[in-house]
Amino acid sequence: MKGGRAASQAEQLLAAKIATGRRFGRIGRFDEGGLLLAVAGLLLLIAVPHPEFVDPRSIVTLLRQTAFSGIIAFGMVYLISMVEIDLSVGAIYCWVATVAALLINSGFDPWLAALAGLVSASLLGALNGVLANVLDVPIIIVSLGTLSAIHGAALILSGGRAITGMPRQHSFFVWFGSEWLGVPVPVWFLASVGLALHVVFRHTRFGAVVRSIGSNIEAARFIGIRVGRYRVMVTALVGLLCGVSGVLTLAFFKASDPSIGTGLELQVVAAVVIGGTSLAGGTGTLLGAFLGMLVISMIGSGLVFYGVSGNWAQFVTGVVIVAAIALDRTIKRRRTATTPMESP
Amino acid sequence: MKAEPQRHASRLIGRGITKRFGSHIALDRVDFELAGGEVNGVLGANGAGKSTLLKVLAGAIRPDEGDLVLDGQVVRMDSMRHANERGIALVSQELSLFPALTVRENFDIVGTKTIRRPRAMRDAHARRVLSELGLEIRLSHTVGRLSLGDRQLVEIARALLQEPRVLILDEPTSALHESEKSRLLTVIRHLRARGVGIVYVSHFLEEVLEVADTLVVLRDGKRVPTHFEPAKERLPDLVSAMLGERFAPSGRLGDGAPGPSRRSGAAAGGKPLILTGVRGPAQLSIPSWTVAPGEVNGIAGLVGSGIEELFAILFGAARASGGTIELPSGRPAPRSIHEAVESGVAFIPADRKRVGLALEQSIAENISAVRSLVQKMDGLILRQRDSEKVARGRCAALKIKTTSVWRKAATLSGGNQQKIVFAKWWEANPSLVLLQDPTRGVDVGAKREMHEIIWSVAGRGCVVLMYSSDPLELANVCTRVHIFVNGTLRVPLEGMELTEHGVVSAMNQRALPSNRQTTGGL
Repeated sequence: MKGGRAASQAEQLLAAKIATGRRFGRIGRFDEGGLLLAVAGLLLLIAVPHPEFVDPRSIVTLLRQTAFSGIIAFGMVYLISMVEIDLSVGAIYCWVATVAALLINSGFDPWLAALAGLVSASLLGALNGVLANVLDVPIIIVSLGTLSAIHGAALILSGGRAITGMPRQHSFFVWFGSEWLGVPVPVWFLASVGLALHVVFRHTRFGAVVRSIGSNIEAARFIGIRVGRYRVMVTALVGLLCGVSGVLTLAFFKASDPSIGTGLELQVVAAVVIGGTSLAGGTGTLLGAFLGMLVISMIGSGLVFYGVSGNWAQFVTGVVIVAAIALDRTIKRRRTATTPMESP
Repeated sequence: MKAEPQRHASRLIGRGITKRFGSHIALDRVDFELAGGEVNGVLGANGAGKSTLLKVLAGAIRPDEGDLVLDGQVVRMDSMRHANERGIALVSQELSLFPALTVRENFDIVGTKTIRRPRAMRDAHARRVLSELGLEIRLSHTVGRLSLGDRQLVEIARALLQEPRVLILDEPTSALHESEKSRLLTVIRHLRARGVGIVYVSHFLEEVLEVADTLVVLRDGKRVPTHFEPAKERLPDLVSAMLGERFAPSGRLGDGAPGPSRRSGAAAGGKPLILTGVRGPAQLSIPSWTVAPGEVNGIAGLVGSGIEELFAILFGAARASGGTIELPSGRPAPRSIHEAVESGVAFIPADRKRVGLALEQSIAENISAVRSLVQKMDGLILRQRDSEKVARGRCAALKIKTTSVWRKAATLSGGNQQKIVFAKWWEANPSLVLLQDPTRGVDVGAKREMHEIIWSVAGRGCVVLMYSSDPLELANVCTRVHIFVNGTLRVPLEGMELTEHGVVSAMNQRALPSNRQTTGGL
């Protein structure tokens, strides 16, 4: 009797679980549950022994650190869901910060310099797409080259030296380098850019075309979608986002260094993939990319709180990334087993 | 030119070979006999059991009943390797070469008889076989970089290197040019003179008649008992034997296929498709052709007859080298697929999985893809509720059974997937619909539904061009069937002339200027 009741309870639990799964499916936008758990777990792991980690100041700092790479990761979600990867994002980011700083130093208005940085970044991004179309190779291959070329150009222009001596009192640095309602401006950018790109990705024609190219490029061509055109548009968007991030970085640090952005591309790709955007294309999640970036940032600052030697940082980051992916996929697998619903 | 070859005693005999797939009988007590030094042509319509018979002979399938006798001994072959060791080689329709490996590596990987000889000798042998086939390539050439025809020849060479005593060729010429074909036929005659027994299967009836010494005609899994002397004049009789009585014209109106009322061309408002002096690519040449709206126009022809090129031109995937095209929408020949779709051309492809659908996307996204992504009918912001409504409407109209339009297209059955492809293009409101084997791989019930759908689209004033590899389907569904032979258009078949028999005969009439002679006798 007892066993029977236990069994029926288990059934009820299972039924409830399935129902929840269905509801999630119907809401359709909650694929990031696993990742949220990972973030919460990390938070506990760091905050319980070191409560100062959840101090508003350090949370704001954490978010600001996330912002610079997070903004770029949003663009990468678009690319990866098209089954493409751009490895030159770190280089473009560095290029923008360097060029804008150099222009300001040579007397240009910082606003103009920032604008020039944004425009050149979009063009460099678009260049990746154009080259990929003309040479008929994936963007990742083109960007292996442009990554070095763009970073190299920034090195040449700056002579390999850090660029300092910005006019700190200028409105550009005051506005972008400040806080609004206690939150740094880059974080506001992160939130607004993320929200806007999320809506575009999910609810506009542009986003739907990107997703349909990613899910079956041959079928997309077959209904007359001009794939090459969209490839250029998305790489230009990624370039622009690198530009935004570069400009914000310059405004915040009021200096630039030609070594910034090195290795950023791998961090960004890792964040997007941890976030649940499939490398097989067709699906992507902006919220996931943000959470993925957050996980990476949290590991970085958590290690500081634990006083772990810098030599360990890279190792621990790698292990935690794999663990986060494993957790996320386990939960997803269970959900797809219980619900056939599919969100667009 | 059939010099009497030195015939040997029967080399490979099949006795009462029966093979069932579930409740379907693919081969029903088929007797088969192949002598050394003989070319045995196997003929039959789609699904008659040709491929199954070849696979049984090559050891790829074990028959449920019946014996195989090789050189007087009953043999049981459990695999193709087994058959290979006994001197039976199969050149199959699906190319089975490794594209990343070189020609030499592809030869070595099957372990030819010569594998233990020194490499120089092996290479010389391989080169000799290749040049016999007219293929002058380096053995270090990567197979993936060869043309389809050359790959076919390499595959044949690989079979020859095994020095088989029985060689089975399944559609060996489908990827070959005229000159390559005649060279292959020469090689086959050489092999025959050397005493090799050859089983030859091809859709090209004339080709089989040209090379075969004896014929085996299969129909619905059974061997047609009549003995046929392979001669050109027998082609109409052969077609009758292949098709049996399936084509009875009176039957097609009664069995739920489109009735005469729907065959009338009186459709509201549609304009015709007009081609004038269209030439190329390949040998396609259409001096003047007008296709009326409101009817289902069948297109038939053998591989390489120009139908693929015609569809590619109309869909903007290829350019004609001359002539003018006026689409039903009044626009000229499209210069890209994008332009074709904008000009109201819809293309329902045979390769559903590769180009027809985004299987990982939802039903709703697939259905609204052309309409909202290419024709931009729904504006910049796409509302889920709207596309759900559109998709639900289409699913109801086309009887697509699904619990939710947000399910992945991959979760549907083949027939329902194909209906999604239809739905997606109907949603685009086309004026010209190109159908390429639209019912391939779907069950009989779904086939019928699809024919209804195709007719309802024609009834709205669309120009409908339907290609099918099944002549019976064309005869049953279409108002008339246009026949392509070597890139040119023959007199279309309609009315009483439009039978499966007529279509197959007309497709195979190369030399004759018109097909009327062969269809008149029906």
